[in-house]
Amino acid sequence: MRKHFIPIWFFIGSLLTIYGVLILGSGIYGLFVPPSNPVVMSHLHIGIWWGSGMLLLGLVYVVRFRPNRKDM
Amino acid sequence: MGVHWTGIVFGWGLAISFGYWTTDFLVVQRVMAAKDLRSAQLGTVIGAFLKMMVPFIVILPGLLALAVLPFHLVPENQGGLPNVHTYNEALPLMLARYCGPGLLGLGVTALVAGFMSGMAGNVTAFTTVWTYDIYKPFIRKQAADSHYVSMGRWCSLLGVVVSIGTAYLVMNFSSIIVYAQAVFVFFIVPMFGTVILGMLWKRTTPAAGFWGLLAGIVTSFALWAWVKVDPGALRHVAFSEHAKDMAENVYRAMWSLIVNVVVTVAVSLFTKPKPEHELKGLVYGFTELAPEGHFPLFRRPITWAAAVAVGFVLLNVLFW
Repeated sequence: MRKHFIPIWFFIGSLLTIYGVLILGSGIYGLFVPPSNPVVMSHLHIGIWWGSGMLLLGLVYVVRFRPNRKDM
Repeated sequence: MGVHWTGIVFGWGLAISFGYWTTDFLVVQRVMAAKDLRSAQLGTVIGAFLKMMVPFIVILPGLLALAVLPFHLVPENQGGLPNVHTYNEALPLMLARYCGPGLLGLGVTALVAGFMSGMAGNVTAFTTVWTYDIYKPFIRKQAADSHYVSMGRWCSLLGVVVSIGTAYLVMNFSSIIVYAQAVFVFFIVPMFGTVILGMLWKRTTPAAGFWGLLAGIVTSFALWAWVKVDPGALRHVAFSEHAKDMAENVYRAMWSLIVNVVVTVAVSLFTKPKPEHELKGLVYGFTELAPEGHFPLFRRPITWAAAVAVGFVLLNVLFW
């Protein structure tokens, strides 16, 4: 039965990936369509950096702890 | 805050911090759920690492807010006016100022997740204590499990409603942290004295535990009421004419712990101790602990506890 368990880290990775996609997406959108009331220091485009970081981290976890991985 | 070093070391460091780590239900329930002693110890040690970062997570953004926000923040009891923001709004204001769409959602999600985690833990504690420690042993001893489950569910609902109600009490305090510490010192600190003596001193008797705990709680409430009725009393409680709300909490913790320990020891000496065979598994000296010698050094809780201790000393030296 144990081999059917999905590691909790996979769910955490999935969440990070989804959040990363959403934040990166909104960051890229803001790059091309700047908001009418920009936040302070919006020229740094923190959404793109933060979203990229979360997406990468999430993907690492998803790949590393994906279900049915041979060595798990 | 007007806190003398005795308050920082004995009130904050000994009474409140040790009380939190040994008796707060949010910590205890996680330790009890651990699969073995080593996991429980390591869980607490890892928690200690995170706890040492709290100043950087909580205080640093607050100080930054004070420096960069274009308006002056005021205490909670001076808020409520248009365009006037309180200390408690520092983090949401910073989020709104620096985080655009996407990141703002993440920030709000993190805040709500934090509230929910704390709330869930406290409501669980409320439900467990009422159903298992009061309702089952004293009110309805023989009932089907389904009855207790149902009681627990209703109790959870009541706990949430009571929590929302108590949130209004915060408006009488200068900030959430002052309120939280005030409530904390009423119960957790006296409980720490009882637990630590019962755990480490085989001579402690059940009657001493009860009277010591009661004396500690009464002391805490009495000091609070004294300062509430006569604010000038704070300089006697906290040894300083410059003492503020938080200094009262810190010293109240120290006094209630002292009273608790003195009463517990005194009553223990005048009451009959429990036989040693009844103390197995309860008192440290009579409990067999699983050996850890077969684990490599870096997997032993003691190694990481030592690292926490070193970090604790370094941070204190750095920020004293």
